[in-house]
Amino acid sequence: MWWHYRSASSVWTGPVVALLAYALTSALAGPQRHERPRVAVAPALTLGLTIDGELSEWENLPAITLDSASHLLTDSALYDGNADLSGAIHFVWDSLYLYAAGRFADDCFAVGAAWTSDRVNFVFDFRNDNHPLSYGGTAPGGSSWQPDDSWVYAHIVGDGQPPYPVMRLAYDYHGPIDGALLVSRGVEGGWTFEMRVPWVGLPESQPFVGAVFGFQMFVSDGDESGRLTEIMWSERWGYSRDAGLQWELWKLGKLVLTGAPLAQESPEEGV
Amino acid sequence: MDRFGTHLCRLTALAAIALGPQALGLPTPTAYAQAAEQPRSTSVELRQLDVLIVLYTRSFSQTLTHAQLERVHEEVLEFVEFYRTAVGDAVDFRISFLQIDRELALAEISEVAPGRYYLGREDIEDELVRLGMLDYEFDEVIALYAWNDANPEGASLAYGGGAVGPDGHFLGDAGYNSIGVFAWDPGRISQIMIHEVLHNIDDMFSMSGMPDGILNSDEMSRNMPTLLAERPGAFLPHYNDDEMINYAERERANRATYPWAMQLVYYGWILQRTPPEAWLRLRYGRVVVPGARVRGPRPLYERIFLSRANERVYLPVVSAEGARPPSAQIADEPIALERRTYEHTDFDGGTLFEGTYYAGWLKLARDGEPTSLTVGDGAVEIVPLGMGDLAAPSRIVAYTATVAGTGQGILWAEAREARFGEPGPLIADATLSATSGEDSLALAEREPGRFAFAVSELGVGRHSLSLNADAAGLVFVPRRVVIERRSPWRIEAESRLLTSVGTPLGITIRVARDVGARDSRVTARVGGRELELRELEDGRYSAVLDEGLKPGLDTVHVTAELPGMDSVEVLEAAIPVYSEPRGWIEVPSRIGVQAGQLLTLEARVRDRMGRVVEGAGLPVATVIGPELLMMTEEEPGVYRVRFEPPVGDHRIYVIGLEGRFERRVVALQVR
Repeated sequence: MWWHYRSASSVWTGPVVALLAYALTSALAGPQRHERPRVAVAPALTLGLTIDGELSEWENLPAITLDSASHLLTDSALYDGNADLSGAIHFVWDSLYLYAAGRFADDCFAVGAAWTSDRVNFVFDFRNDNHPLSYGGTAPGGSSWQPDDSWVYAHIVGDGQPPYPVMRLAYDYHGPIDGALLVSRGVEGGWTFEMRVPWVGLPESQPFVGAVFGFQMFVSDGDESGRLTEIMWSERWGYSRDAGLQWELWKLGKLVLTGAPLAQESPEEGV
Repeated sequence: MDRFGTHLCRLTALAAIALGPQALGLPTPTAYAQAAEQPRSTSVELRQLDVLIVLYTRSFSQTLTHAQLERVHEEVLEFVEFYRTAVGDAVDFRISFLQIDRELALAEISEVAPGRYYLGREDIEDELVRLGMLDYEFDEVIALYAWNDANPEGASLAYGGGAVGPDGHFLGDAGYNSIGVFAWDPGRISQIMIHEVLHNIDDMFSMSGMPDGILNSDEMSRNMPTLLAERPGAFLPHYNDDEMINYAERERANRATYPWAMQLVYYGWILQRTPPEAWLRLRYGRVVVPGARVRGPRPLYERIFLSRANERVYLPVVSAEGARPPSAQIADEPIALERRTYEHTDFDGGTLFEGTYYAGWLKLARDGEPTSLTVGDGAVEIVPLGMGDLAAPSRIVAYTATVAGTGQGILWAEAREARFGEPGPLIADATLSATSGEDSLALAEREPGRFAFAVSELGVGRHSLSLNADAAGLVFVPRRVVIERRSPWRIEAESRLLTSVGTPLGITIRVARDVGARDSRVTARVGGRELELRELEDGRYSAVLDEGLKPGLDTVHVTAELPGMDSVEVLEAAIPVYSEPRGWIEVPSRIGVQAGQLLTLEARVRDRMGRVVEGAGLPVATVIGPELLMMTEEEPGVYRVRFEPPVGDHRIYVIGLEGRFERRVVALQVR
C-alpha cells in the first residue's frame, strides 16, 4: 500500500472531522463574517502509483462526493438519482503530477468526445485570487479568463483508441495536456478513471504543502438521445439549456495540497 | 464614373498639387487657352442646357457674408466662362439661380462616413419640388452650401465635390452635384464645378445612348496618349509629348498630380473632341441656333429665385472686355452696375484666365411679384418665393431639476420668413407642430410666430423631435431637434473597489453634471462607519477610511446633497467593494508537547498595518501531515485548533485559504 493513513486521535480524526469543524465555524459566523469556501484536500503521494484505472490504491484517501446531494446543473427531469450518476473523486499529488481518480455509478455509459458524453471536469484558479468582484460579477468569455484559470477535462471514453487525452482550456489555449495520462474502466454499474496531470502543463500552478488553489469540479453524464446530466461540487454555477454553463469563475471552492503522514517525509515541502 | 454612378472628388488631391502654371513658367494666355482656341467646325445649331444653381447661404456651420455671396456668383461666372470658351459653339448653359437663406441643419445633410458629410440630392429634392423647381425641367442642378469645417459638431466635408446622374431619379431627370463653399479657398468653387459638371455631361451622353460620347474627366492620365496623338505638343513649351507620357505614368502611380492648368487642357480637349452632332443628339435641354444667343452684355442668370423677405438681390452681368457698360433698369429706374474683374487661378494663385463683368445689389419691390429686368442685351426674371425659416436649436440638453428662472428646459421655435444675412420677420399666422416618434407634442404660441415647449413634459432620455411649420404661401422644411433630458447630477465612481483587509480605503467619487458640482455635502457609509468626504476639485470628493475594511464583500453607500435654489437635492450611489484578506499569520515558530497531550495551536492574523484582524472569521487552517484542520476564531483575532499529534519531530503549516497570506511553518516536537 502506498498510503499509510492514520487516525490515532479522537480529536484529530481526519478530513471528515476537519470539514465538520470547518462547517461549524461557518455556521457560527455572523452576517459580517467572511463566507467560507468548500475545501477539498490532496495529500502528498510518497509511494509509486500505477495509472491503470484500478482504484484499490486510493482506498482510505479523502474523497469528494458528487451525488444527488450535490448541485444539479441540468434538467432535474433527466436525473434519476444516484444510480444514474453519483460517485467520489480523490486527489493526491507529488512534485511532478496532480493525480485524480474516481468511481462513478452510471446507468448509461456514453462514449465519444462529444460534449454530451461522460466527462470529468476540474476548474482551477491556481493563484487563488478570484473573488466576488472578479470579472465584474459576470461569467467571462474564454478569452477573458485570467492566465491562471484553467479548465481541465477528460472524456472517460473518448474517440478512437485509448489513451484518451486530458484536455485543458484557458484564455490562450484549448488542447491536450502533454504528459497527462488517463485510464478509464467500465465496471459494474458505472466506470472508474485514474489520471495524472503534470504541473508543467498547468500554467501558474506551484505545488507545495499548503498550496491553495481555487477549485471547482463537475461531472457530465451523457445518456441516450444526447441527454446530459451534470452535477457540480462547490457553489452552483448558472446553467441554462440554451446557453449552457455560465463559467462563474469567482464562485469556487478550494483544493489544498497537504503533506505526507507525519511519520514520513513530504515529497516537496517548498518554501 | 465609378460603379455607384457617383463621382466624388477629393479636394485634398487637388490641393496637393504644387505645380502651377507659374511654376511651370506658363504665361497667359495659357496652354489651356491655346487648347480652347483650337479651330472647330462651326455648327448652325447648338445644345442648350437648363442649369439650376442652388445656394444655401446659411448652414449650421457658416453664414455667408455679402462679400462671400458675391464671390460665389463670380465663381459661377468663371465656370460659365470656361465652358463658353472651350465648347461654346456646341453647348450653352441657360442658368437659373436659387438662393435659399434658411439655415441648412446638419441633420439634413447625409453623413456618408462617421463625421463626414455630403449634401446629397435626396437631401434637397423635396424642398426644390415644393419651391416649384420641378416645373422648370432643369437638366442640371448644382447645389452650393455654406460650410466651415471648424464647427462645434465636428463635422467635415466628405468630398470636394460629388456628382451623380442624370439617371431619371432626381427632379425629373436632372444631373446633380454639390459643393461645400468657403470650406477652402473659394477659388476652388469654379474648379470643382467645371470638373463635376463634366461628370454630369458624361452621364447625359450615356442616358442619350452615347456611353462613349465624351471621355471621363477623371481619366486624364489614361487618355493622355490619345490627347497627344490628336494634339501633339499640347503641353509645350513646358513639356514635350514624351515628358507628358512619363508625367501621366507618374500620376497613375500616385507619384505626381496635375496642376489645374493641365487639367483644363484635358477638359477643354474632351469637350472639343466630342462632335457637334453628338451634342445635338443629347436628349437633355434643347437645340438652339447660335445666332439666337445674346452676345452683348447680359445677366448671368435667366432667373433668380429668392425669398420674398429679401429687399435686395445681387445681379451679376456678363460683359466682354472693352464692351460698353450695360444699362439696367427696373420699373423705369436706371440701376448702377459696378465694373468688376475676375481671375480664374491655378492652385498656387497663378492666373489662368481673367475677365470683366458688372454687378450690383438691386432693391426689390415689396409686392412679392416676379420682376423682369432688362440688362444690356438680355433680361433676367427675379422671382420672389415664399420661403420659410423654421428656427430652432438642433440640440437641447435639459435637466430634470432645472433651477427656476434660468429659462433652461424650454424649447423655443420661431416661424420666420427666410432672409439673407439676418432673421426674417416672424410669421403671425404660422402654426407649428411637433412629433416625437408616434406622439404629437403641443407647442404654445407665446407671441405671434414664436412657440415654446416645456421639455419637462418629456421623460429622462434622448428624444428626437420633428418640428414643422405651416403658413399660407410659405414653404418650410421640417426641423429636427434632439432633446436630451438628463438627471441633473450624478455620482461618478469606480464600478467596484478592491482593497485588502486593514489597508486604508480611499473613497473618491465625483459629483458631476457636465462639469463637477461644487459645494455639495458628500458622505459615505461603509464598514459600519460614516465618513464625510472632503471636496477636492471639479466635483470630486474624497475620504479615507484609515482602519480599512474587514475582509470580504461590502458596499460603499454614497450620499451627496446638492444645494439648489430653493431646496437640497439628494443623490445616492452604491459601490461594491471587496476587501481581500491579506497580511500575515502570527504563530509560534516551534512548539512542544508531551505525547498523549492535546495540543492547542494558536494563531493571530494581522493586517498589512500590523493590526490584529478581529472578528473576521477568516478561513485559516492547519496542515498536519495529510490532514487539514480548520482553525476557529475563538476570541477576537485569535484562532485556535486542537489535536493530538503523534510522537516525533514534525513540521505543521498554517495557511489562509483566501486572500494572500504566507504559509507559516511551525516546528512541532512531541515527546
